[in-house]
Amino acid sequence: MLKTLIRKEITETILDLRFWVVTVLFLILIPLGMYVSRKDYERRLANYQQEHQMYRQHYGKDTGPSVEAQGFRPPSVLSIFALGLDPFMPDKAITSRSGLVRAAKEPGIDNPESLLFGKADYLFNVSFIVSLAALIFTFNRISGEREKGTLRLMISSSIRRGEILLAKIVGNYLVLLVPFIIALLAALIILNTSSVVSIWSSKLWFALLAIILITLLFMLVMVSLGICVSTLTHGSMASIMMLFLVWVMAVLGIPKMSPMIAEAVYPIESKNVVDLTQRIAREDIESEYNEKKSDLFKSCRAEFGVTHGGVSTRPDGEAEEKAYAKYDREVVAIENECQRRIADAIRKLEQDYRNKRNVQASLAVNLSRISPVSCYTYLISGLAGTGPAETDKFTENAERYQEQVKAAIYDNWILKTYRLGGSRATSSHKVEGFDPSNASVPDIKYEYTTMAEVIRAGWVDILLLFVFNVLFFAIAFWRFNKYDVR
Amino acid sequence: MLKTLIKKEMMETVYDLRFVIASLLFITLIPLSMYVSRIDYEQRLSAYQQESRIWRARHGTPEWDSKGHGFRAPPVLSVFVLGLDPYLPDKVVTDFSGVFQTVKEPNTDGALAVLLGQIDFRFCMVYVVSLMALVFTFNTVSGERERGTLRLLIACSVPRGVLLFCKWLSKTLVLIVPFLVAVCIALLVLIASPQIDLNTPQLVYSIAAILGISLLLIVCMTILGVCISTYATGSLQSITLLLTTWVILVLGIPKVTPMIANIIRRPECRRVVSMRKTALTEDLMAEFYDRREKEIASLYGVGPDEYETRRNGLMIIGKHKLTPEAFQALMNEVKDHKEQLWRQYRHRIPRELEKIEAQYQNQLQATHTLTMVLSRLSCLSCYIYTIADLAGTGIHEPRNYMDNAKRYQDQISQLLYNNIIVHKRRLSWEKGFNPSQMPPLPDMQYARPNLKTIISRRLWDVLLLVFYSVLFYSLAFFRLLKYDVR
Repeated sequence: MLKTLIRKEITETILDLRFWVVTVLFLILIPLGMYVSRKDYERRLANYQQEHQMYRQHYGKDTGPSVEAQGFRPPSVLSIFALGLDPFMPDKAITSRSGLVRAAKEPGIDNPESLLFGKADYLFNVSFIVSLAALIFTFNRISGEREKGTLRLMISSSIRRGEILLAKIVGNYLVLLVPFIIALLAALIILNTSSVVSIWSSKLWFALLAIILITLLFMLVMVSLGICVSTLTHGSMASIMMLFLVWVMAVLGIPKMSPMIAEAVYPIESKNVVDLTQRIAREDIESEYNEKKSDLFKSCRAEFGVTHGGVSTRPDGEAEEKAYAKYDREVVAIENECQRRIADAIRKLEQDYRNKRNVQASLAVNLSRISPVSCYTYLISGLAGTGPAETDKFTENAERYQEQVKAAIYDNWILKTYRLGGSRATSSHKVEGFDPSNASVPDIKYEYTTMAEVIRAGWVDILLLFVFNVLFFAIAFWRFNKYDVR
Repeated sequence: MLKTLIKKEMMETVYDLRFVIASLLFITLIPLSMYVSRIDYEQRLSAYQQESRIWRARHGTPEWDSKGHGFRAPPVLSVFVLGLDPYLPDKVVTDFSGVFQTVKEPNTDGALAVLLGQIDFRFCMVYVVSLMALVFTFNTVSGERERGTLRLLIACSVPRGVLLFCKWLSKTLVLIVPFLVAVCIALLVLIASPQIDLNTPQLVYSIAAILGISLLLIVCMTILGVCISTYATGSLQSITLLLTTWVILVLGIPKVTPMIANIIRRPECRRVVSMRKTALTEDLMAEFYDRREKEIASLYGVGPDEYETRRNGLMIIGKHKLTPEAFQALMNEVKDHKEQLWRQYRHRIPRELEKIEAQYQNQLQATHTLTMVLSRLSCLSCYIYTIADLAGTGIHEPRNYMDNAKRYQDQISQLLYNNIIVHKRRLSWEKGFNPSQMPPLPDMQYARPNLKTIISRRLWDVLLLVFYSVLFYSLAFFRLLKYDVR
């Protein structure tokens, strides 16, 4: 009986105008969206490569003691599917001898219209269009049949209500899958024709498979929701109204409001201000220790009777040599203490900020998870390498790059600074065995969040999608059992 | 007859579930979105004020290598339309070389808000109000035909044109009521903010213009809904047509056309242009130092930064042995030559950079023109362009920002940099200039275009909205004349 019911649902749906309209929409929008996303990715990749090449040509051989090496972040291949946070992420990490690596973002707006209207990537197409199509397919499956009078005929044939419900969900889901899969295949073909993307690479293939499976799960959630809405009303018009209300709240309202509500309920200081505070703390501590160094230098000179002349990097005479040697020995402790205090101050500020930010983010995420669209968005953007976890991942990569440049360049130079009052003399010399003319600035090996990390972080969202399916089915089942079919 | 028909339509609509749902959605979402936008604006404003204050406290006094920092305050009306504001630079940093830098801190404070999208007044209008306008009107004619009352009306010799007009007018009036109530509540929420002062005439007129354009959009969408209704013979057909139209107008055309224009006319990326500018500046500075050295050596027989020694009452420098008076005269000549050469480069560097910028802007303009033409196929695009410009966050704002940045650079150059002479290892001041007598560096006075300029820029979009309304109405009218009412 179930097979017959499913076949009936499939036939009915295919003969409906909605099926053809949805098919046309999917076949146009999904491949077109993929094509423009692919072109956009190719452009971003070309820009990254061009900038990287120009940098290496101009600055690649600059291995001086105070060089600020730049590590460029390549665009994630899977950002074709979900642009996510990519436009807001830093473009590069800039190292410094002081140990502080900073993120930099070129503030250019190449395509203001695209930013103003938003991009139509795969994530957008599925969240908005496929979800709306799923609801349109199913909103009047129960209430419409009641209006037509066929529902009472079915019930009077002793067909179990649970079976009818299940058949409607499965039938409509299968029919919705067909145009989606065709559109997706067309989109993947378009993607594979790119010279810079190969969907068959092992790194990409698993993530792609995960994206498709999660999308299919999400579509099932929306179909179940549509059937659920249909059991809550007694007519098509009421169903469509309820559907719009539900769609607006689930897709537009809750996901977009939650972060802003979290910001309003638990406001935190802006990152710009935190960075500025860190910079000021560093400057203040450095200034304090520079004075101490200056005093030490003065006392060393006085100890050996050097009272004349200014500060220079080359001691003049035996007495000055002894003074310089003593200063070089004793300044190490001051410098270490200075670096330690700076690191402590910065770490404390950073930790404070991160704790508050995590609380706010946690509040926003938990609020937004009321909507299945949010769960879907977190998963897909995570798999695409453009999710919220990427901000911390960038910091990790930047810090690793700083260490790399330190080992390759900074540690091969010894910098000595002598201060006396307002004057300063700095000398640098290379460590034995280091040849700057043969050295070059290392490249950053940028690592995105792995699939395992994404799944580990996103298992709650996957579970929630299953829970939503079960919940909507349960509500629909409970409601349908009491449904007046006359 | 007209009044009776309008009253009838209005009563019918008010008793409909759609009116309740529309009212619920408007009165919930519009004030709530205004509230969260307001809180977001207050936080951005506070961050701007804090950053500006901290910087001025520490670096406001001009020094040798002062870089003026011009901070950009968030526009008040960004509470209505966030637009391009999150993408614009936070500050401009001036430099004595004439090359200012725009800085955008890679701030991912609100990573979730960015990922899930932000909800503002524009969002509510484009996604919620436009959809509700269509939902209100999609079965105005087809629904009445299904119910059988349309033939009765026609049989009573009611002219079809009058019928169409009454239907459209009554639906629009009923829809506008909850919208205006929601907007009034939203404005009260805005006025309640201690940081937003709406008393300035420019702001009041801009808000009035935004609301006026929004009402025009509602009119356009209700006419479109009525038009759709005349092309369908039943409610279900109408709803399918409605959704297809909405998806294309709201989601399809605005999002896809900028990307298509970017594919057809691909401009260079801003990042690459910035790198070219930086490289050019460095090359020109290297050329300056090189030329200075060669010219001074060949004309005067000394190095440009060479130091003199004194022996037996004579000054020895380069190949010269001079009396103190002759030496002073020579030094004055060398100094004049160096200053003259620097002045040449001080004007040449910004000129060369302007050429690169102009070339880039021309490319952008070509892409921009194509995008505007393509995207204006949708009335929603015209609406978005207009209100974004009115809010100061539209597509002209990046250009406006650069103009302000250039003006600030010129201002600081006038006050400070034009008095600097560049040497290889140091800077010096022009004769007669005393930096200690200078007041603190001024703030950037960020200028935005006035309302008249914006309206004249956006006149085409407003006219297009009117044109679309007339077009949809004409199509509906002609279709209704041939509509089978049985």
